[in-house]
Amino acid sequence: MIKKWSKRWVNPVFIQESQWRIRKKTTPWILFFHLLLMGIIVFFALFVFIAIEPFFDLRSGTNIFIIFSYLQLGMVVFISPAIASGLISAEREKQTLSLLLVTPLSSKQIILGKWLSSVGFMLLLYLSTLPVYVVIYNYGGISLDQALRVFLHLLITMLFLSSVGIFFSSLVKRTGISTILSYLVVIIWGIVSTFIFYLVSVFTSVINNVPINEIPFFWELFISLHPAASMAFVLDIEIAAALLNMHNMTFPVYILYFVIYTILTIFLLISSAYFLSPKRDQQKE
Amino acid sequence: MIRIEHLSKQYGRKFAVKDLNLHIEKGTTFGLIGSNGAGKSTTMKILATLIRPSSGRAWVGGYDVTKSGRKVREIVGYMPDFFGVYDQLTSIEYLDFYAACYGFDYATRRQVAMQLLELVDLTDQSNQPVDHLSRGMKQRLGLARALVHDPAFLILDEPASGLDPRSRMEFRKILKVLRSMGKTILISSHMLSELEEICDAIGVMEQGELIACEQVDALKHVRRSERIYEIYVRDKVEETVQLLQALQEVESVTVEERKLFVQTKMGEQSQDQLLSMLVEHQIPVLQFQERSINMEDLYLQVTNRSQGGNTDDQKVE
Ligand SMILES: Nc1ncnc2c1ncn2[C@@H]1O[C@H](COP(=O)(O)OP(=O)(O)OP(=O)(O)O)[C@@H](O)[C@H]1O
Ligand SMILES: [Mg+2]
Repeated sequence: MIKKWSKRWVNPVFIQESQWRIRKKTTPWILFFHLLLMGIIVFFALFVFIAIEPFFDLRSGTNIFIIFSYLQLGMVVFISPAIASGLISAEREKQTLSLLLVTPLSSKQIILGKWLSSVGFMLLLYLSTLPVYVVIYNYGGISLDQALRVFLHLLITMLFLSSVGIFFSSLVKRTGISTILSYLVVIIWGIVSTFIFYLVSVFTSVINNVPINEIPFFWELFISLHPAASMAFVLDIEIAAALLNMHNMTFPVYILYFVIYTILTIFLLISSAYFLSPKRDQQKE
Repeated sequence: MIRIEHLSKQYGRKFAVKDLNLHIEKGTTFGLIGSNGAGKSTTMKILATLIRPSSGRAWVGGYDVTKSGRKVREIVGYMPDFFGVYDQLTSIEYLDFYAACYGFDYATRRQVAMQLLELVDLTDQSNQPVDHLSRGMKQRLGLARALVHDPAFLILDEPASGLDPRSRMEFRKILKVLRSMGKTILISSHMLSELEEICDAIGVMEQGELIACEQVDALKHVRRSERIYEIYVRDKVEETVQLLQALQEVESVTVEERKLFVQTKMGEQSQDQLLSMLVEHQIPVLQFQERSINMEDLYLQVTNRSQGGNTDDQKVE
């Protein structure tokens, strides 16, 4: 029973990829510098706060947690595509992809193994910053449940961006192009969408002659799909909270973020598997 | 074991494989030869379920390659014409990984990997990183990889290309072992000489089509009944040609300056008669010898016959 179960779920691609990453000499250094960078920034913020307000209160603790959460989000957004966008195309370049495809592993399993290995590495990076969490926690100002929500948000973002990387990696032949396309998506998603949103809200407020901060409900749902905005909802930052009050919303908007990106992730993974399988070959003609 | 019916693969308007029909019995070794771009690799990739055919069907061990891909993959061992290696793995880890892909547990995997390394004579390289191996070694490791799941049917795409004569011989030795194990083998090459020793039957591909398909024994039979004589004369080339062409058994005469190549159907006994006839007519024969027809000549003949001699880029060793 257990054997059958493990046969079904143990993914050799995932194991091999993870083993290789752990064995790589650069991995401990990456983890170490990641922690160092995070630590330096957080401690710097801490010093600034203490310099401004001699009486360090709970709110400063919260603010540091907010800064740290956004730092983590930035890291996830920045690193996930870089790792995932080479996973399939590198196999293609090394000419090992067809060797994998002739084994009984399905293209779904190959994609899943690669994707999980990329997410696994991102989680490792996340875990490497636990000491910083401990320090912040000591200063107070965060609840465990808030920390958990932030973690969930980061996880969903990792899953999504890794699947974006995998998708382009299986769609195009070259790793370089796949990486560029992945970052293009990230830029449009994170930056361009903000501008569009800003322009549209200015426009509608001019047309409807209402103050700019009175945003239509639809648009509010739309911004909750933005990684930074939804992080604000997750963190329950004042503006975000005020927005929700304005529309008499009790429903936590970030749930929408979780749901939508989970669906998108699944969709991207299925398409990646599709592009990997020989079926595509026939479709193209 | 293998049945291919009206198989075609088109890239745009170009046919990589065109209306291919082939039947390979269980336990036989079938050789595919053809020049570059003849469609050998494409055919093999279709059988290995890597490419979908544009039309036609193919079965491996009774399973349709497009419909029961997974079943087919379980009985096929595919060795492509390149070796994909993970530079971070050692030889044994490399085999171990592919064995894991076939769902073997840890203990079995190690055992299988060691056995295979022994079969391809790489035991002392088992802990070497794969990218430190020489080309010949990588090729043997690639063969071992294709054998991890003990497949009944082996597809070997130009397994001996780029090997020196010695490694080639060693490779052939391994293939003979596999053959004696009762495996069905489909092997491709540019060179007939490489295949004639190990194959039971040989097919010739040209521009996507299978233009000839022969049992090796039959080819050898042809070789026994046909002969080529090489005659070197000091003078009277024209006269000699006329004399020879007048003979019924002579099929063709080719002239290269003062050297004549005579293709005949005569038996061995007639060799002296031919010589004495020439001497009688006072032809100054300097040299007279029989040139054995090798497989390469036969191959060129076959391909020439059906393709109007488009064999310029034929790589003949
Ligand atoms: N992906 C592809 N796209 C377009 N054309 C292709 C593709 N793959 C193969 N071809 C064409 O199909 C033909 C057959 O190629 P194939 O690789 O099967 O030949 P081959 O017999 O293996 O040659 P070689 O001896 O060089 O290995 C070639 O003319 C090639 O140009
Ligand atoms: Mg080829």
